[in-house]
Amino acid sequence: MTSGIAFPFLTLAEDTVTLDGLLIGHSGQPLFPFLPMLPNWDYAADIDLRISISIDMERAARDLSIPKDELRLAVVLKIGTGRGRFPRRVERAMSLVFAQDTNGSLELHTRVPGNALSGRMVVRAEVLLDTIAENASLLSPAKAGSRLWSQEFVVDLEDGGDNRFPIELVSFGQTFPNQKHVNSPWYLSWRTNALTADFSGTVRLYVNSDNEELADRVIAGDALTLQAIVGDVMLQMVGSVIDAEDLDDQLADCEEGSVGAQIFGWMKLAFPNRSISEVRRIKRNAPGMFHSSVHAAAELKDDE
Amino acid sequence: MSNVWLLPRLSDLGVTQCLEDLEVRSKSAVNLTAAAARRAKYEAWIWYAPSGGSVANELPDEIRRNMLALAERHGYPDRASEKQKANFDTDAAKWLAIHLDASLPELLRDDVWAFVTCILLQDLVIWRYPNPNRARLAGGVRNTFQRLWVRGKTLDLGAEAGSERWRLLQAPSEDAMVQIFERASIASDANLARAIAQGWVTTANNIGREKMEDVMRRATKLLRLRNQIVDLSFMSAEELEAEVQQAFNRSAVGLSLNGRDNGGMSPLMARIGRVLRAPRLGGGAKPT
Repeated sequence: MTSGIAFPFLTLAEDTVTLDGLLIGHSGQPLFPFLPMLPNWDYAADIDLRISISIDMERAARDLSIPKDELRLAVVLKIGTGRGRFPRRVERAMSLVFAQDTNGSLELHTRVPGNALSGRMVVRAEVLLDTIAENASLLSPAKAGSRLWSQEFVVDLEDGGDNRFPIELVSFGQTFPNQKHVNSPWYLSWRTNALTADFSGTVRLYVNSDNEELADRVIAGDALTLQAIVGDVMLQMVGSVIDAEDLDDQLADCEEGSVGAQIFGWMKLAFPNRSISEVRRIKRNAPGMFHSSVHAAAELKDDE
Repeated sequence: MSNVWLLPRLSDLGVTQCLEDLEVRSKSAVNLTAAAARRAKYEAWIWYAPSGGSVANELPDEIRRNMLALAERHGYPDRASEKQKANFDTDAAKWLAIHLDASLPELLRDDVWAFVTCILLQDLVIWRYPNPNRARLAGGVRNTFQRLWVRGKTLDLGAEAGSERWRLLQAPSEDAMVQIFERASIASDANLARAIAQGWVTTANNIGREKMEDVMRRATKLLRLRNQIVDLSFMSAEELEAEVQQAFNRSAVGLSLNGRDNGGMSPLMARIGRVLRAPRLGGGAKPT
């Protein structure tokens, strides 16, 4: 379900809706369970998607406080594409109605033309209120289209690595020959005055391939090396903005996928349940604690 | 499915190099390099998708030829007025929206637009923005030509609309365009973007363009919040139009409808109005 939003009406519990499977593949070929990267894709390759979804209508009626015989839900499948964490273009691929007499699960099957995709594909399955019920409670959703449940999947396409942390392995001797950071192990390119800008479009981490040992460790995904690098990136970005007096206002204007939203996410990860002013005090009064808390938050978990 | 015309892409390092070169040139007042020379100089940072379409060898030149012709119609290479720049933006948005469909997925990529602005049309970028910052040259919502393509593509009402085809592109102010197209949650949904542009036009006709900046900001904020809990794209065109108009009406509360007369209120009358209101608001009675 969409988190972080206080809905002014009842929504569906997480386990009222079950996604029985999301399958993906090149059109005309066997489908396989959804993976974060679709290999061997280019514009010439259409993509097939199949999603099975079931809704426990008894529970849904209870969750929403709507009489079961009046409950009609729409299952909507949307496809987004384009660079950045927030897709540049989103279109509805299909929608089906779930009502009292809908038996078992519904299967949504769609073919997405390759020449309509760019860099990555965001698949969003959503359950909405389809029809306003006459005998619903005061807390029930009362507008067709009310968002009740959603789940999102992202698959990188072609060179869609843009959607992971933007990182590039380059020779600093060739790329930054006259810069002071030519001998630095890494360099983060970003601007402090662009918090609303798209993260993937404005932040880039360059790792110095002239240092062969470092390059080998990064390529091999050495956890401690990556933690040190990512921790430094987080420290730079959080530390550079935390002292801004109007940071609360600035972050309030930052959409999902923006530099500001990412920085705020890191702050919450490193300092859970602390306000911005509290984090600011920690940085000022206990800089060692501030630094090590951020570095600890950069630890790569086993499932990542 | 149709073949995609592949366009050149400029890496982020190429954009950085371009910005450094521009800074050096601005200090030494050396003339800008010609487009072909720029392409050769930055070759190391220009790349194409390895497969999936055909390299559009002619298209970049066609884009340059047409953008140059439009710019010349609006004053290029002489210094342009704000009105000339705005008219160029509109004409360029129309051309880009109509002629590049075969490259649609490429145009969703920032690095393609970085090539267009840094290499292909750098001289027009400098003419349009004499001191361009990175955002005008790198790909993204503020890229000089990417923003025009997105506006044209989204607000095009189609050939069947006849003389009305471009009314949503032509009417809203620059501030309104920024509010629509620099918000990913709005810009990614073409129907919502068009409905908001229409809402702007309707409301501006009622209360006057000069009052629209604050109204637009409030309305887009309301609609973004509304869209988080109700999927506005689920509504019919008529329902969406009504929902958007309601947000504009709420945002315009306190401003008189049919306010063209009020919009033309003289500074003296406005001053008197402030004096009369001030005591009720707890302020002093003296004009400010």
